[in-house]
This record gives sequence, structure tokens and C-alpha cells, in this order.
Amino acid sequence: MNRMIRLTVLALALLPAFAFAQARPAATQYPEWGQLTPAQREALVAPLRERWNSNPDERARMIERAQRWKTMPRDQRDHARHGMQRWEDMSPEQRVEARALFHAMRGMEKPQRKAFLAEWRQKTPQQKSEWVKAHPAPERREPSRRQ
Amino acid sequence: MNNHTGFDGDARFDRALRQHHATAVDSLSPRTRAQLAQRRNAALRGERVAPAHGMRYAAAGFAAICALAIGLQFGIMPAPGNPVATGIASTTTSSTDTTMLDEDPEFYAWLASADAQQIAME
Repeated sequence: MNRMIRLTVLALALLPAFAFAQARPAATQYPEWGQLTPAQREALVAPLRERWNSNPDERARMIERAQRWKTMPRDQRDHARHGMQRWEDMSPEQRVEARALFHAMRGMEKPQRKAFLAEWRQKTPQQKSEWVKAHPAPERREPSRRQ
Repeated sequence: MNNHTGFDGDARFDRALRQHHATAVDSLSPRTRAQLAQRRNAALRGERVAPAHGMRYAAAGFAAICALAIGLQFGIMPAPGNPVATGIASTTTSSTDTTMLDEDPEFYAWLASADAQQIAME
């Protein structure tokens, strides 16, 4: 009797594990682009087409950036992807600040950059905000996205 | 004579049975013997021995409730569907699908650089 109860308890305790193993979907493996169906390709390309059609003035920049992504060394491209993820998590204010800092620092040599960063870290939030207003990044048009 | 023989036979049978009983009792562990004695005394007093499985039944019940709750949780979760419908459809609704063309890739690379990491953007 005791043994039966023990077995029942064990079986019930293990039930969620079995259920989890069965409910968990296997990671989907997609084939190479050439093996995708027309519907899958269409689903992937649609956002880009929409963006292209909605922003005629941005087309030159889009092409240029796409070509730069393509010619980037793989490690640098991976680096850029990480940065892109950081960008996506930023607030609009943080983005303005990041763009301003990038454009300010991109032409600097290493010692100059180091000094700039040290000085930046000493600034108060108010001083940083004032600096960003005084040194804005080149204007950038927000791409329009149809809903 | 027959009666006498019959009596002797009964006595031998009784002795043999008692001998077997004593041997069987000797083979029991002291703990089992103590439990048996307790139960015997309790039965003689007219008491009912409380089952010792209360906690075990409670544990079994608790495990059953847990299993049921977790099972229901999995039941509510959406089942994996068609990869085309789930995986690719999510890319079409994401606003980040064309983020890579929003800014210069060099800018994105800089955002992941040590310099940019030093700058906590408030």
C-alpha cells in the first residue's frame, strides 16, 4: 500500500515535467533563402518594400546603408548588430544624445576622445542636456511607416 | 486408548504449532514486535488505530493539485503552429525589421563600442 502511494506521488510529481517536455515546441529550423516558399519570401520582404515605397527621399540612404552592411567585415557587422539592439531599447531622448555624441566624437583621435569622455562623465545631467542642444547631430528624417 | 492417543496427538500438534509461532515471532524485528504489541493492546482496549498515512495522502493530494495547475497552465499556452504563420508573421509586425537601415551601420557599431558603453545615456 505504502509503495503504491509512493509511486503515485512520484508519478504525479513527474507529470508536469512530462507535460512540459511535450508542450515545448521544437526550435524551428528554416531553410536557406532559395528554399523558402514565395509566401515566406513575400512576408520577409514586405516591411522593406513598404518602407521603400513610403520614403522616396530616403531611398539613396537606404541603398548606401544596405551596401555598407554588406561590405562590413563579419565581426564588425556582429558588433553593429549589438549596437542596433541597444538603439532599439533607447528612449527618444537617449537616441538624440547618442547621435550627438557619435557625431561629435567620430573625427577625434584616441587621446582627444579619452579626454572628451572624461569631461563628459564629470558633467551633470543638466550640463549634458545643454551640451546636446548646443551640439546637435545632423538632422535626420524619421522614416514614415504605414500602419 | 484411542482417546488417549488422540489427546497426545492434539498435544503434539499444539506444541508443534506453538514452536512454529515462537520461531516466526523470533524472526520479527523488535520494532515490528513492538508495533504488533501496541496494536494488540489497542484492539483489546477497543481503540481504533489511527492510520499513519494521513501525511502521505496529503502529499499525494498536493502533488495532484500542483500537476493539475501546471497542466492547465500548459493547456492555456498557445500550441506551436505553422512556422510560417508564427515565425515570419511576427517579423512583419515588428517595427525593428528595418531598423538596420535607419542609421549608419558605423553608428550602430559605435553604440556597441567601449566608448559608448562608458557613456551612460540618461
